[in-house]
Amino acid sequence: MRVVVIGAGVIGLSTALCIHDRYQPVLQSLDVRVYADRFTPLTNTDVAAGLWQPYLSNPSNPQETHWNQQTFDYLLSHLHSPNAADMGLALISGYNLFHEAVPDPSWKDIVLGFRKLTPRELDMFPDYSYGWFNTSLILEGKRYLQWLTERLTERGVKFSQRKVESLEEVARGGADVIINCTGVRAGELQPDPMLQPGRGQIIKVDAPWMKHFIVTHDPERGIYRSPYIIPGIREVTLGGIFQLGNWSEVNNIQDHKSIWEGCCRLEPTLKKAEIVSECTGFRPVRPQVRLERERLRFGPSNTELIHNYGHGGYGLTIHWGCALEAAKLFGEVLEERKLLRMPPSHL
Amino acid sequence: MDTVRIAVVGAGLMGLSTAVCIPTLVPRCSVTVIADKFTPDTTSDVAAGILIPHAYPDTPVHKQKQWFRETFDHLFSIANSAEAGDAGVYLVSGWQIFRSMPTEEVPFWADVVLGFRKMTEAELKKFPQHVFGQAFTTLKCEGPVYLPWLEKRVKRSGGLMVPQRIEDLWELHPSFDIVVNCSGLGSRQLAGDSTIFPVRGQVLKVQAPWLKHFIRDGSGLTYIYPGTSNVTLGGTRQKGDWNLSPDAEISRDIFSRCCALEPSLHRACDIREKVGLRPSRPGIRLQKELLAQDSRRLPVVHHYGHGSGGFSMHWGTALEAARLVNECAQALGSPAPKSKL
Repeated sequence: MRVVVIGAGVIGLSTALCIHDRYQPVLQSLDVRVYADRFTPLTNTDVAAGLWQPYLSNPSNPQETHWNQQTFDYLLSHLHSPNAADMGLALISGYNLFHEAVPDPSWKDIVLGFRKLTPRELDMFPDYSYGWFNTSLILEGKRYLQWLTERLTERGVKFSQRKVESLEEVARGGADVIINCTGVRAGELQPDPMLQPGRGQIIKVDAPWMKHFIVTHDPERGIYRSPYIIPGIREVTLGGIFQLGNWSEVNNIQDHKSIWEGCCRLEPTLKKAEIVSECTGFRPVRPQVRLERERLRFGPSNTELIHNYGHGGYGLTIHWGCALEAAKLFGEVLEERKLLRMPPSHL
Repeated sequence: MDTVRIAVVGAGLMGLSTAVCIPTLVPRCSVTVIADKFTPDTTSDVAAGILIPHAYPDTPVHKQKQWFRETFDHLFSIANSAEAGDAGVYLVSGWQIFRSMPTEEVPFWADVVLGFRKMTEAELKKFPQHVFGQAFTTLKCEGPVYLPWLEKRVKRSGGLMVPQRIEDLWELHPSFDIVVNCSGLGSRQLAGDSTIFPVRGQVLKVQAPWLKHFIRDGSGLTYIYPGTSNVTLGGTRQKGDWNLSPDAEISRDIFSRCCALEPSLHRACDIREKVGLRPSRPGIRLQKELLAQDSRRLPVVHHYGHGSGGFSMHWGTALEAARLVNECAQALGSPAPKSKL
């Protein structure tokens, strides 16, 4: 049973790991491979700040709330192991700031210690008049992808650096099941008018005194278009750019100014911070995640396709729940093909 | 009136912050800080500098609260300014956790720190050995950065730093009009104070940049305080122990206790040991004393004995010490009646 995962961002690698660990014990012939043209540190996951936080409004697909919760719980359970830092995982508390009172988010009971900000806390942010404080998680994209790669390599999963031109090419190459985790470029393999790039640009600075995330919201401008400051394990990510339909991979000077000025206004201590790097990434924006099966027919054989893409700006936030769902869909394929079998007992 | 010449003995947190406060209250004065040790070699350099008050049995609670509030508000405005990095002051959130219900669930300082509340059940799951906890946001004030910043402020207002060991306060007479005694444990000798004694604290400074929260066991014996360039792991409270050399066995024990609270610390590296002797006393001594010997008079303001609570109280007590210095300065200005022949 040859499974090819296309895409080596957080969705591709976590889905590969989830499927391998769930089914390898019961399917000796399971052979999982990852094909991608870009690996860490060149994926969109590498650009993400890594804060676990879903959008403020309820997702159009209620399953996404469940997948977000599953991911948080999964990550929280890893916090207690010495491996947490290796995974790029840490607890972090911080502030969400608004210009006016807003309803509590659906995820308020998923994160820890959710509460409203007190007046003295709001005094720190003169441009804002309302806000939340809660404890959440950081999952640094780059470190996590490295960790996933190490786990997959230990399990004998093979990686192949190549640009997949078509699903047919992969099917004819011998794949029984293809997991499509191609993220923002999924449209190249199969047109999807609902998928668009949500271009983001971020500046990474050295500011080790920053221990909290600060995320601002401006409903008139929209999500990710208002300054945010998210400390990672070593560096702090500054952002606030979201441009639908913009495919430019080049860092833009106007965007740089907008991020820098917005974040320094929010947190004046940043003026003394040294800039370490700046990069651009593309959130795979879609009205909802595409996580479903499709059957392809190339010539005489059927190839099962499982789509898992379109996670917008919340890929790290939702990834494990989606990996579990993709693994469940994979299990359905195995059942249909009557492939699930317990390993033979030894006499 | 001539310039009032003020000597501050001690260049730790108390000496330097008093030296900064004095010129703001005392008109026409000169300040000279005299000490055998300057940053980074003072006791204040070893402390993690987290603002969580220590309770003094002999100091009234309303006074402790006042000094803590003054210190917190002062540092809070620095933390929110562009000076924060130069001063080494910033906000940090975290948890104080208890293995058994504390007698006081809400301490006197709860409304001085930010966002104080009880921990939720979900939060307590992180600490299976603990049954109760408090979550809040406070400030951390890093000695090795804050002390040099204070020194700069002292110098900018014309103050001098003189490295010299003082064996007797009378050495400062008649060169100085008022002496401010911020010598911490040195007061055993300089002020003949037998109520002050060391409480030895050993800590580890480690690299663990993924830790963003402080964790303090309610007993105060085990704590994890993330800083700008390292994380402080502690600690010990050894009464009457003057030994400044780190003990390897104690280091292992500290590390083990902290890892039990935060398992990710197993991955910490670059572990360094430090020892500080807390200048402990049943109450902080903030008091004027007029030393007299034959016909010589030397006004002294004592400002020492903060034990574990130096950083938490320093600005409030420095302001009070400066007020006492001003009282002495005023008294100097009105000459004592002289007998006329």
